[in-house]
Amino acid sequence: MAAKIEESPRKARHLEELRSAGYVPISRAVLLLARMRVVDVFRFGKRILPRRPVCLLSLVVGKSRSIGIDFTVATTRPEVERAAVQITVRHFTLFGSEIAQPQEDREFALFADPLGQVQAQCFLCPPPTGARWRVVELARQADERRIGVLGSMRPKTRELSPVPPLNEALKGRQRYWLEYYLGEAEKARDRQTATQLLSRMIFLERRATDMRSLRLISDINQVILDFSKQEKVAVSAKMQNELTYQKLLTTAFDNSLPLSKWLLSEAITLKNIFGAPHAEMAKVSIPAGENLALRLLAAYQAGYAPVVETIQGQMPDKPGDIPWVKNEELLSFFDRP
Amino acid sequence: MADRPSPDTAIADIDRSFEEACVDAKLSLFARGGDLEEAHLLAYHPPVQRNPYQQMLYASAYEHSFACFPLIDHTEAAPPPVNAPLGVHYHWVHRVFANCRSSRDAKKAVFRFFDTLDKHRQADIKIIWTVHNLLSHSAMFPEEEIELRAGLGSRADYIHIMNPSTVELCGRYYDLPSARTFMVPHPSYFGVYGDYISPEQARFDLGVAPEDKTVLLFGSLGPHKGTRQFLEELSELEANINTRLRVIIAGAPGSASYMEDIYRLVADKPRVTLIEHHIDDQAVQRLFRASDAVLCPYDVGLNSGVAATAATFGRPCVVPDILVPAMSAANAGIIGFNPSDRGSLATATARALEARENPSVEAALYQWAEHHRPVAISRLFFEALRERW
Repeated sequence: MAAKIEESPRKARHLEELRSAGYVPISRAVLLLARMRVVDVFRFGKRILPRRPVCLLSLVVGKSRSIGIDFTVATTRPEVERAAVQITVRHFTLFGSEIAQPQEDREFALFADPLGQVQAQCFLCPPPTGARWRVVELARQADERRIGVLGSMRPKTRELSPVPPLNEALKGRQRYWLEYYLGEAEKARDRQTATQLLSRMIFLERRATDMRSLRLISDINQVILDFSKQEKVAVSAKMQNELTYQKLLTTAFDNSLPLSKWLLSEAITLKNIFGAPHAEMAKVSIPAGENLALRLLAAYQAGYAPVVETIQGQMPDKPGDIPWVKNEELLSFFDRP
Repeated sequence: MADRPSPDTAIADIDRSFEEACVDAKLSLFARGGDLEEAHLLAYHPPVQRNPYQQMLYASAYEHSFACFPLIDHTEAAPPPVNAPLGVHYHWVHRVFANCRSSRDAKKAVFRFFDTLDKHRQADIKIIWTVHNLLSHSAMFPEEEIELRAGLGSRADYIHIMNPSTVELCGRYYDLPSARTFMVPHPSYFGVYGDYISPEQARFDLGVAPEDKTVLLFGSLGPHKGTRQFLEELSELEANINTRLRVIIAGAPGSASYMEDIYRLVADKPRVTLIEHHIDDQAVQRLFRASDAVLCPYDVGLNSGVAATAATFGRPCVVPDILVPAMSAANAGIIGFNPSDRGSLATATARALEARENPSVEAALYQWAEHHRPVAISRLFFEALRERW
């Protein structure tokens, strides 16, 4: 290896910079033990990550949801290096069969920070049911020896309190805090906070699931914004309109697709049944009841002038349930007496 | 000079020596049955793989008794071991600076490059230069690059330009001897990329709704492409044109720090899709067919393969003003904006989206593409070269 370094001044420079920051190469003996998966290489001091992946086999102890791994990763580059280290956590049964897990629960990409600015990074890897063994593998994504690592490859139960303030979580890289606040935002149907959180998660990891979630929320924002520009919908006792839109014609909206697309699909079905709206047939009665708000939006989308019929003169307090939309927002659609 | 070698043996036999390539070239011309007195050899440098430009430009070489072959190391060019005139055709000359770490290195590289050119001239090797840009997109050593281009311009026997304003525009930085220039436009990509996917299929594949006004920013990502600034101004642009845009950005990623900026800017924009890898030739059609307009929000540009690709797929394209003359025949399909007035980008985008609604614009773009198909442009190129050489 030494001969190779002499061949390349750039490699020698990386090595020198890492050494001066306290990172040392892993000795041959330790590397050999690491290859046998029996030594926690980066636990006892700063080490330079070698080209070949380093693994550790350990027994699964505890089943807490907060089991995780902490690392600091450094690079000789002047800027943060995205996905410089890939960590793969695989779980096995007692008899050595690997337990299948989704990629996002199994693979984690760590940032490498410039020397002198390293930040701790943590991810949670709770064991799945039936797991008895765990193999943690650290692999360098960079093609050069410029990455230094410090931390234990043996997962531990983490203390998940106190919860950091939202602003702090938004600046950090800890996905579990961002997910925690996202859960809170979902409960509160707070789309604005959810947008901030998801934007941060997308910036950090560019996961397709996060992008999809943000797209759905952004779409709901747009639908609500468009509808709020319309006049409020009249609410009255039963009217004698020829068309009555009693219940949804397609499956209920469940946030598995953008609301605008669901509305278009429902509106097309509605027009197919009622015929295209025209001057004499533009009004459609929407009896209060299940999914009232969705039916209202779909009727509006289809081009009808919806009139909401109350039930026994009463407008319901909850005009349906649209994910991420607050009840007050839905109620604001109606011109309630 | 250590340029990037071309590792793709599917494009050219890179193990062949320069001398062997010359002999093979002459033999292939002989096999074709043409007049050997007319045979010309053209070695091009640097050869590029992913950009099909060189293959397009040389498409009709044999018709004109030219045999073209890649020259990985241009210092190897020497009088050929066959009785045929040889020319070295230079393209993206900034690669001279590939391994330079300081302006001192860059100066040395320029000196070495000129030395090689002078040796070409002493050996009666013609020097041809295609001016692709005013300066390279991400010029690391602008002063040295200007010196390099000025020196190449003064030494080149023939200078191929694709934009009629090239001499004037380059004049801001360096002189090009207009007497030695000849104008042959950029070819379209007619017949180059796969083209069989319908717009409806393309939009469906990419998750673009039929009613979405979709713009495409295509090509390798880097500061020169104006993508960062475009994303920063996107909300303002949408407000100005009163349209929510669906944006697709596709191309090979740029430097890590640049990409961090792009990731940050797209993170809160769910209507922006970032496809950060090289786009396969068969996949190019999907992106262009799914789009209503193509944007090239560059700060500067002399020629644009992206605009030519957009025209090939019948899509209007927004380009910097100085690029418009290069594709003036495409009429209303090529819409200029003034890079120093960012507001003009919004106006141009609105015009491009409007143009998409006009079938005559699409027809004009197809006509331009057909007229500028690679074989036709290649013929013009070799005819022009023949006249002079």
